[in-house]
Amino acid sequence: MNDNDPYQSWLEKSRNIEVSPDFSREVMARISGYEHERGEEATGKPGLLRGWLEWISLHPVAQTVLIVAGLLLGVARLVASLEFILSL
Amino acid sequence: MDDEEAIRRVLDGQTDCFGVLIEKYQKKIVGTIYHMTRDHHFSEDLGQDVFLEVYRNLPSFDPARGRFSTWLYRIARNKTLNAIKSKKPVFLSEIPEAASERNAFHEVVSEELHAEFDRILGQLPVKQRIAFVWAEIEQLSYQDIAEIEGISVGTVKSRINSARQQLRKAFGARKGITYE
Repeated sequence: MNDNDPYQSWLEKSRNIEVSPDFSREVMARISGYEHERGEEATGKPGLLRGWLEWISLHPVAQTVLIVAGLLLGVARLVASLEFILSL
Repeated sequence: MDDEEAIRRVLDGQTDCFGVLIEKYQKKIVGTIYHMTRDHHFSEDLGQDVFLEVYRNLPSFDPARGRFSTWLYRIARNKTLNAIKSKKPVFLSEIPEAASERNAFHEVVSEELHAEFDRILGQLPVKQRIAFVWAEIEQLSYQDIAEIEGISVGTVKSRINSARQQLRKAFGARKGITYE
């Protein structure tokens, strides 16, 4: 195959694949997101809530305490509302 | 800034220096994936995944065990071959068919041959194809390809020669039409 043949022109064409001008920026944005997630995990910010929910889901006693606390809070609110209405 | 310096800075917390490595290698990585899959959009997506994986694993990169480029190409190779295994039918359907009628005779012949070469490249066994793409299109040395693939230079040459023979056969079959 000589230098001017279609094989060479095909190789030349194949070597000129365009990469999006945003490619590098998009990769760096994904890296930034990855670092952000890693930082959050390290400081435990979103991990705190996630960890607390996981802990609750694994402890039936804690779930019961939470439900009872919710009920008491609801009753207290109801009583307070009734007292307020009757005092009018 | 050379690769080692960029890596050192990234590991020291200068994340932006990773951009130097992306700029330097993006064309070869995306190009390789494109020639292996024939899907431009996918090649950019997978190229991004490659660089992200490289970034994540940068702390485990050991320059004593080889160059950064070899390590990067190996990650790209593995990701590409995994993608081909899982998506092969889609990619093969995207290999262009021979060009239809055009005005200029030589343009038609040239486009048809290019499409034919693309088609044959897409049909080569994966190992031959990637060796050919790296050597002939991305212009890596045989030694580099051997290091990336973990094979001997002789095996690299053999794979590339087999690929060339297939393409030459196609070229030979069409040559009479081209220059009659």
